[in-house]
Amino acid sequence: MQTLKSIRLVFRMQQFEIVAVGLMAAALVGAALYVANELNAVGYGPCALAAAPPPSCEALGRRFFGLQDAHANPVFAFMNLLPYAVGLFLGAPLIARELERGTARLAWSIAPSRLRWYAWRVVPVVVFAVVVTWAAGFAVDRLVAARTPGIDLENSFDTYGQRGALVAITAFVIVAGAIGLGTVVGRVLPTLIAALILGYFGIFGVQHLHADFTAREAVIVAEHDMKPGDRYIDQFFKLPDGRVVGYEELAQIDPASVTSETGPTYPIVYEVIPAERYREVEAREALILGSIGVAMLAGAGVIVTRRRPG
Amino acid sequence: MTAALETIGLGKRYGLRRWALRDLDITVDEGTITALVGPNGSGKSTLLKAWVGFERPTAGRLRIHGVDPVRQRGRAIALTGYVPQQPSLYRELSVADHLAFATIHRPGFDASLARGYLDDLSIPLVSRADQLSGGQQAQVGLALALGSRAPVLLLDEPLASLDPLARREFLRVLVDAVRASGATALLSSHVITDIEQACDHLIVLGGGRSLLAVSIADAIAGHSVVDGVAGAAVSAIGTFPSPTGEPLTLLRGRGGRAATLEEVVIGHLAAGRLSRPLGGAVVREEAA
Repeated sequence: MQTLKSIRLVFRMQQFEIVAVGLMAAALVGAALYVANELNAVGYGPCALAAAPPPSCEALGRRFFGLQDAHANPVFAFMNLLPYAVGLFLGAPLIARELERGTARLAWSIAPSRLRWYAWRVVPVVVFAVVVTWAAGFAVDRLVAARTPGIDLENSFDTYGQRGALVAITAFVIVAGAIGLGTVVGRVLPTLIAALILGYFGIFGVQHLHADFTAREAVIVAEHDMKPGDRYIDQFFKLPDGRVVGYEELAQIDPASVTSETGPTYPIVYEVIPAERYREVEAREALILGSIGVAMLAGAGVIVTRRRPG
Repeated sequence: MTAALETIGLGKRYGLRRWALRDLDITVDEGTITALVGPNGSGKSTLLKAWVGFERPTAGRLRIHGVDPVRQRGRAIALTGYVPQQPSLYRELSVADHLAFATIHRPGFDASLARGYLDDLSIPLVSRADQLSGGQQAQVGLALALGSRAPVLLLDEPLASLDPLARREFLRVLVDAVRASGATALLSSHVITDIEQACDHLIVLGGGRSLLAVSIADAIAGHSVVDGVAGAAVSAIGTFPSPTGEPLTLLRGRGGRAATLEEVVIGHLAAGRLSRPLGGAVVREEAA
């Protein structure tokens, strides 16, 4: 009872942001589930997967892809922004506003432990951010499943990073970063702007580095062995001696083949991350991003214990 | 009497050169209500903030009931009720929410005591902080400090933005509560008449140093005023203009007419201001 009262108090301190983020996430989750249902109702999946699609399948396909363009794509576009919106909107004002309005003076003069106050202030909001974006990630999973008939969500890199747990982890890092910046800057608007820029490039940078690292673990598969859920990295040519070379290397080895009208006739092979590794790669990226988020929250806690209340 | 608050050679510097406090040695006895008076920039707020751990001293030490707020901030906060210059309440929260907030974060917070003060003042607990007047917000800030049942109350110009009636009410609640609990209060203020009614001791700060630390009764009894400039007199402390512009000189002892508390304070501030350009020496008078 006491805990519930305490959480209610934290949410009341950020009532506007909590309500706005809750409504925004609920609307997007609702829209994603609705569109997924709409796509499933078309019935294109079974006929598209059939060995011999009936003639009616073409009309269903037109309707299916029309719905994708008109409804599913806008939902995906907004869903991509959701972790940033949730993270910035909830994280930036959390401590920055306390410092800007002077309420930190009141709080820190009442609470003998600033760290306890900080945890009390931060944990419910971070949990809320993670829960709503987790729900959004789940809804995107449903939408991806409806959009891609026959997809095995557990073993597919389709829409990687924009569905499932990674949506929530991305929001967690953004909210942690925004909280951390807020403790340093101490003003809401500059924190919001700085967190938007640093958050975008920070997440982009980490994802890029992780993609580069993951690419080193790629395997070469023949064209006919490539599965729809594999993560494509690059494409090569397989020479008769078994060597796998890129286009430039091939141009040096066999210049005639690349200049011929038909192009190289060597079999094409692909460098991919096999679809079966989806959960493992996702978990590793989540661990990296999550660790960064935890480190930023811990850093912000240290700053709270040491800084002036403004 | 034992010291509730103490500074020893306290110094606080901002940047490389600006000293807000310097070589400050003051003691506030337990159970007293002490006024902290000084012009803007004299270091009053810095001193109070240092005691609640909001400012780190550059030099020297300070204690609250023997506890060093720099090294043991949590323990020092637990001994302190602080009322800042601006009430700084959470505007989204009701008064009752503020009491709940204090109950969550302050071990031993007496919400019913705080509620009692607010009920006496007819401040509705259901009102949001941003719906309260400035005086009511200050009272909520005071109720939070009193509800903590802290042995030391530090009040940083809480009267500055209040109208005379609200000031009077605030001081009444403060004095009654402090007298009832035996706590120690240090109140910084510019309004001398309020101080005279509420406080029993006085510390005058000027240029970051203590110019006078004495009981109010001794301050009034131990000074007098003469018309004109009496700089050559052995007992002359400082010369300052009267409300009509005529120069007055504050004397130590009974060489002129009885001084008011305001004249004692202004005379010492004038002396402090005069003495600084002449090499930093500061007129200092301790309680007899």
